[in-house]
Amino acid sequence: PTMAAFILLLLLLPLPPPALALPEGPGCRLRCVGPAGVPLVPGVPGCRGGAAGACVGHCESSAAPSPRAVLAASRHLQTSRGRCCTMAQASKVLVTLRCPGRARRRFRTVSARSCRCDLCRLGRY
Amino acid sequence: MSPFFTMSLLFGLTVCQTASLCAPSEYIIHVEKRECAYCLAINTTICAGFCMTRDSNGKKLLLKSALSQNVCTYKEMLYQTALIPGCPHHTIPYYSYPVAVSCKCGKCNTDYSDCVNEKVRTNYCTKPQKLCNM
Repeated sequence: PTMAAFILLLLLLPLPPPALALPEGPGCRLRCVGPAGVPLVPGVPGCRGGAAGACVGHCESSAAPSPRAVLAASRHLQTSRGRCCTMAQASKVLVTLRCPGRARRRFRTVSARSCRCDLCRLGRY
Repeated sequence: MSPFFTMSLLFGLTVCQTASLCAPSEYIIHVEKRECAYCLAINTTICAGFCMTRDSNGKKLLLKSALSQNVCTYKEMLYQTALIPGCPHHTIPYYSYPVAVSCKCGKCNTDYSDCVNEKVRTNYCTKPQKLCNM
């Protein structure tokens, strides 16, 4: 059953976002997540082995008719304004993955130390 | 991995979309053209609210799809056209704008939308204002 659950988890990985379903309301918070993006200790900063900090939560956004300056420059009739829950402070950590067959894999990754609603940026990826 | 943990994960995967709070909202836009004598104030409906976003730590293990950068945007909309008063004959006096029917949390599509980080501060009149009577 444990192996089946692990395979199921791997199959679910490529699913689009709502994979981390934690907060119930607005707020961008530090979460402790495992290497597969699975929450380990929701809402409790400070991670156990194999986990690191991620930023998860709701940020304010809106879409409205474009102002005249945007219309003149781009002819886009809509303007979307949004912020994303992103890492304000991060550090590099060494994480150990426990794989099937008692194998272990170690790798370096980024762990969030604090979060805030800020510019939506893809630079880290 | 306990059955309880697996069930919690599956539950989260299926229902967490509902955690977003993005809905149509009343809004007044101000429209004016340099050539026209008046500024038009239009009552419309925009999309506004909160969307779930995520900056994960799994740079090496997770796919890009694990990163969530959704914003509150139009799901269904219709376009309406208003007439700006006081325009000279050689100027097109019409202004078309989107009206939100329903909203969703989704990607900002740069094909037809301007995607910005800060609030746009140009929604005001510099000319005498008239209300739009649709």
